[in-house]
Amino acid sequence: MTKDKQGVSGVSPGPLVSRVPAPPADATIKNICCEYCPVACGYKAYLWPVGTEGGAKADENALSIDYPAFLQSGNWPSPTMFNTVTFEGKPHNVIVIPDGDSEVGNIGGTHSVRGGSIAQKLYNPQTPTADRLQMPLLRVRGTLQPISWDAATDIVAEVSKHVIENHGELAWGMKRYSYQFYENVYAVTKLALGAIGSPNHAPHHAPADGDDVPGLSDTGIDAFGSAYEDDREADVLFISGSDPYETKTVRFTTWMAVGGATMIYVDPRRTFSAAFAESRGGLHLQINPGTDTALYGAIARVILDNGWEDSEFIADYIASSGEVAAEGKWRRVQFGQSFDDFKSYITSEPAFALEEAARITGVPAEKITQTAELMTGGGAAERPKLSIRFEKGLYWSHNYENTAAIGNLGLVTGSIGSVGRSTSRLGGHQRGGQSGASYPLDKSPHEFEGHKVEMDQDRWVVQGNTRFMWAIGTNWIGASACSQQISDSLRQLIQETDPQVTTADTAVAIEQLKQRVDNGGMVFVHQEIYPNDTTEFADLVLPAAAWGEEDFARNSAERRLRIYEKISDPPGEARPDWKIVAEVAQKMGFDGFDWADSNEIFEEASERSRGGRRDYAALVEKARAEGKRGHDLLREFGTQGLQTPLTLEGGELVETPRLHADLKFKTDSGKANFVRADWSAVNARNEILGPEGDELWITNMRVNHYWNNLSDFTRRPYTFQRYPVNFIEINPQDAESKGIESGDMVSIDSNRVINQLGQQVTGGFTAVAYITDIVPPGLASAYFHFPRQPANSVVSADTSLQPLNLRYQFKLGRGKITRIGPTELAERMSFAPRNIV
Amino acid sequence: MKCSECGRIWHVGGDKCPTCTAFSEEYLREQASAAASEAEGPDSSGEVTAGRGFSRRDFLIGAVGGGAAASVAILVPVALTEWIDDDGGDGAPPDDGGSPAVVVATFRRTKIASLSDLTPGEPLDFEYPLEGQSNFVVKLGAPAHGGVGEEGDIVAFSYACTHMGCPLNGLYKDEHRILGPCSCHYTTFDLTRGGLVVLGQATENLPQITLALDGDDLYATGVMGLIFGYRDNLADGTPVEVTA
Ligand code: SF4
Ligand code: FES
Repeated sequence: MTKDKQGVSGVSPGPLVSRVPAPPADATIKNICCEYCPVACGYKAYLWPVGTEGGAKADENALSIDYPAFLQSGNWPSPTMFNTVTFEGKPHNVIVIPDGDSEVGNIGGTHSVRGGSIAQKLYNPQTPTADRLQMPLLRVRGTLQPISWDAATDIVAEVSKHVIENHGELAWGMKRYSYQFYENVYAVTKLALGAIGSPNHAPHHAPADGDDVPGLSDTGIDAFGSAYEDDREADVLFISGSDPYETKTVRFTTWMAVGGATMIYVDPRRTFSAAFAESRGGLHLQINPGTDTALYGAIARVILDNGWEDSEFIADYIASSGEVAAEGKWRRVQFGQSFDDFKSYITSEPAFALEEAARITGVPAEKITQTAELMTGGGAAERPKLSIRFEKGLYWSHNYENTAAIGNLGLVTGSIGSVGRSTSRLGGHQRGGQSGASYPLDKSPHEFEGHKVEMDQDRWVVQGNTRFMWAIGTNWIGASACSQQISDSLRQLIQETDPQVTTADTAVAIEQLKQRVDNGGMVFVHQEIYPNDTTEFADLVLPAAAWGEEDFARNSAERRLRIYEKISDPPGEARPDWKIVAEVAQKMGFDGFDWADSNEIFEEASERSRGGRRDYAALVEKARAEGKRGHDLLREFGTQGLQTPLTLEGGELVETPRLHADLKFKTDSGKANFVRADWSAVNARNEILGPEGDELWITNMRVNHYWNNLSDFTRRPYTFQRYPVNFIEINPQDAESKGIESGDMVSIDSNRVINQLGQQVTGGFTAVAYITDIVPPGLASAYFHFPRQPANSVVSADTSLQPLNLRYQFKLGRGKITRIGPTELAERMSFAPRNIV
Repeated sequence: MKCSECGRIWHVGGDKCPTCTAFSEEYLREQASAAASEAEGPDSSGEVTAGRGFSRRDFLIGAVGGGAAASVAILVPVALTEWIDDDGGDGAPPDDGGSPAVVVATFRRTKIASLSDLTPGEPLDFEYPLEGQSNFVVKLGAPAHGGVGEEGDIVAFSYACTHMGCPLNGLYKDEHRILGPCSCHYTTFDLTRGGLVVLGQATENLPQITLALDGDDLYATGVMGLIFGYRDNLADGTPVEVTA
């Protein structure tokens, strides 16, 4: 008999681990939250030195459980919750586990697979995290080579100064996450928007800065005003363009599903959430892509025709046309509507008539009527408590009109400001966007009808106007529409424009990079935790330290502020973003960047939070009064944290469970207004963007197992086994006509992608076919941000189609699908249905 | 792993202690038991199962898209898992290409059912390896990872959802060969793919009970993965009575 020891090392950690040690009773316990979706579940980390372990009795282990743990005890560490890290310079075992004592958010320690496996995010050189970036790297003769931090920040500072002096601030760009921790976002924006003052600045998911839900904001409703409690207490939940089970899991399992609300779920895909809604007496409105404005207009029309609107609310809290005209914000003046204006538009637009809307949206007329009735009670004496929720399926389509249309539904039904009655986003990521300076809109080169709008950074790059670009915490290429145009432009401006760096001698390298800038090229700095598609174009790579590697703070989607404590040393020389930026800023000669630690930034940033939904200035004031640091006072509130905005009353902190409780709105008058959601503008765009002939709509989605660009998840064998390559859902009817079976590799191509300059170009990506009735015929759906297989390459990138607010229409790609051939994934991946209830 | 010399415990890397380089207690135990079973031969030891499809490839996660994610050993199970060449002499179908079988040395082989009692698509329940650890065996009607029998379609799994432990009894869906959705948070497991999560929140595949078939007798021989609630499948409980 031959022994095959190799077999053991080929074993994945997920399925085969059959032992997880208990943390000893004296383990160090830290407060942290999940890093991923906006629910921001509370977690505990148990750290103890390698070489010891706890016992099976509650008093022998720090989890305080008697093994075996009871079901639903919320304190059982599964194999993926365990890891080994270096902490304070010494090897430690660590269990990162949902907080079983939590009474908010993830009550009782519930969690999703994303957060539940987060211990595997921590750097451990024996795991696939071994390729974390650990030293600054400079591309010398085409190869990224380690250099020192001092040299790296010299290069960034010197080239930046040169670009700003010789080519102006607009040539200096920053592309960055908007979701990171307060301390990091504050520091990087203080430099980019404040000290440097460049409008060449955009978040990870859009080509321009600015509001993601401008139509809703123009109604006066805050996008994050609700509390999770409202999901549970609502009688009716109207959910549009978000799959809460797969993407906001605990909000679904612990709040929405538990409360027993009737769910009305709007999505072109028949997801698990859709099937769940129907199985519990709700509705799935399986809408045609790009037609939300017509659907919500039609629902409003049924409500108005029947007199089912909330007349009292409307009479008291909706602005008159005179009040709207007196508003300071031009968009509100231009598109805002009094109730009468709204009513006359809704009842006169032919697309909102029931039968026509049914034809446009694909939603049967009776379902539209039934929806209007469910949302309002259909004239019953007591109106049901309605909460309206939405996310990117809505606003990554027709941004302004769709977000206005859904805000209008909130107002016409009076769904705002009390328990169970609210209108808000579900959120895409956690809320860390505390900027350190205001966006310098006056410097933007882009306008709409004489009004400045935020600068389209991608267009500016493609036009060759950007000479220095600093991307922080994002895979820019995969995250942009028409991804291939961004990589083509980067290649041309960076790699095909001379000179290239030929030596790591810092002074020479700086001169060479300055010369390239003056030759019309670009210098590109990528700051990341792992290399990704975008890193291939970087001149300089800066290794970042992130979640769990520094004390940070952040808000959840219900504005719950918590501390995220350090539970591991960063790998190698990786540094938190704030520290990198502070060093560059100081070398550039700017004041106000000499922070000693992240807490100093947290305290400073509280000043700029004043008056907003994340106002935590009261916390810092109280901390100072008690002689404490801001982070330390926040730590005392554990994983429960505090719901912002905070105020101080008699020395005590007072939280705000929900916004608009006083029925005051974010307008000059304090009253809300309806907003014109113009169907004709949407319809014209659909005609430009829609599929023709044998093209399909190619939309994109998120999935339960993954979060965002997979930087963690490709390195997490347990979760990555689920979808080892990008996959595309294809309806059986479409698959049959092309001879495609589940497990086949397919190519999705389009020769009608509109690039950032309005030109027609080609694009495409591959994916493994997953044949399913989740998608209807004529629509296929791929994971939105898979490395190397960018679904966004078939999405048009011409923001002049939406000139009001420069957003990509990621949900509206199109292309043809061709079978490439069979793969072994047919045997390895599961193609079982994902929408069985 | 625990060091046989200095007592250090580690969970990553090989059989040797990262501190003093002595072998782990587990490794030494494994060596001893392997030597014993080699002396006796597979038939007499009764510890051999030929699980269909437990090829090394099945556990190479991320080999296609993962880049760095491929084939890195992270945690070595304490319950000894070892790969041997199989001669197919125990009533299971001959393995294609000599794919390795599994021996889980510390688990005790226990009869759980008779093949003739199995109705396709209908789970039969049993407890293993400890009392109260509730499992089922089912004939799926399609080849499955780790399946035994002529069609390689007989598999057994734990009933405890690896998300938060809710019982999955009664949730087998024969049409799709899935178990679930769990009534607590809706996790669904694919029984043809080693208990992989189709959709849901469990942070571990559903533990699969390794099986051996000897004539009409179906034996449980081990567990792949950690059963919900436990720190070790064989600790903190009473072993079930072994039936031959
Ligand atoms: S639901 Fe969201 S926040 Fe909670 S564990 Fe999952 S990914 Fe993390
Ligand atoms: S316990 Fe089964 S899904 Fe949560």
